[in-house]
Amino acid sequence: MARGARAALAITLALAPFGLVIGVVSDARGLSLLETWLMSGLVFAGTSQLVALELWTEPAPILGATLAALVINLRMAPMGAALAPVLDRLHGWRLWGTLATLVDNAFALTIAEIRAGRRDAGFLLGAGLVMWANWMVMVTLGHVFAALVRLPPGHPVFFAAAATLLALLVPIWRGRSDLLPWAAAGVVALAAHGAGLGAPWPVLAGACAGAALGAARDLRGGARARRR
Amino acid sequence: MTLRPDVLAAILGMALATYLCRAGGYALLRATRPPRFVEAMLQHLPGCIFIAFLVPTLASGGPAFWVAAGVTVATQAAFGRLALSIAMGVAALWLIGGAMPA
Repeated sequence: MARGARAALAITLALAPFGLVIGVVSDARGLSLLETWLMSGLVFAGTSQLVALELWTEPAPILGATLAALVINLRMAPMGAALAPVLDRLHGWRLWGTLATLVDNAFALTIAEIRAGRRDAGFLLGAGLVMWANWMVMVTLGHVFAALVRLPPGHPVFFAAAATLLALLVPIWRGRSDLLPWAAAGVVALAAHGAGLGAPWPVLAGACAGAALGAARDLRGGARARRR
Repeated sequence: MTLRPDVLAAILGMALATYLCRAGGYALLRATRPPRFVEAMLQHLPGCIFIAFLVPTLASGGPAFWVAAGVTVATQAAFGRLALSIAMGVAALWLIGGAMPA
């Protein structure tokens, strides 16, 4: 768990701007600090919070916000399934509690660990908890100092979130056999995005297409190897 | 420190929906022994999820983004330090003067 926490600390700076933005936007939408804490602490998924706040109304859009969270966070369902090698070692509240802390970057760090041959479920929880604590601190700072923190939306600092995932691709890369599925994922996601589909459809379509192509190739190769 | 009932209901709805997403995929996998094809897909999913997430973002960002992305990946491949790679990527974008798409 300490290893996961340390790994997460290394990228907390990269996630800080996003938390600030959520705090600022929450304040702009009239959410009190307590309401901001509750949303960030319980939902803990930045993009869905941002989208929900974009369509925020008075009174609060209960159905709209719930549906937005469901659709945008649907990408986490395959993540949980892909973490089976470490989650299979957990039971009861440890299992379902660890899943509650699942976020994109903790997922990426843990997959890199699994690929390096380490299967430690505590790593996932440690990384998730550090990111959660960092999230709460940054959201609070954003809410309290909303008037001071005026980062324009196009500020390069927001590239940090994409850069985190880009850098994490390096340890996840297993060699040339990844090339075909990854290329397919990129092409399909781009096509879905170009067709005007909003989140999460480009991500889900691209990820499923790439993974299906890779699986089809692997199984056909395996069948041929068995026949020989 | 107000807490309005409508806001609380919206937050709880979002939290429940998000937890269903977080736990649902694994719960489904655990409850049903998945076919071999799905097992093989799961091996490929992580990388594909991130590529599918990054490619549209980078494409709409333009050449400045592509250079910054290249710097980030190259730094990670050379030094293997996440914090350094992220800082280099942001610095590169800053220097080129690119801006995130709003």
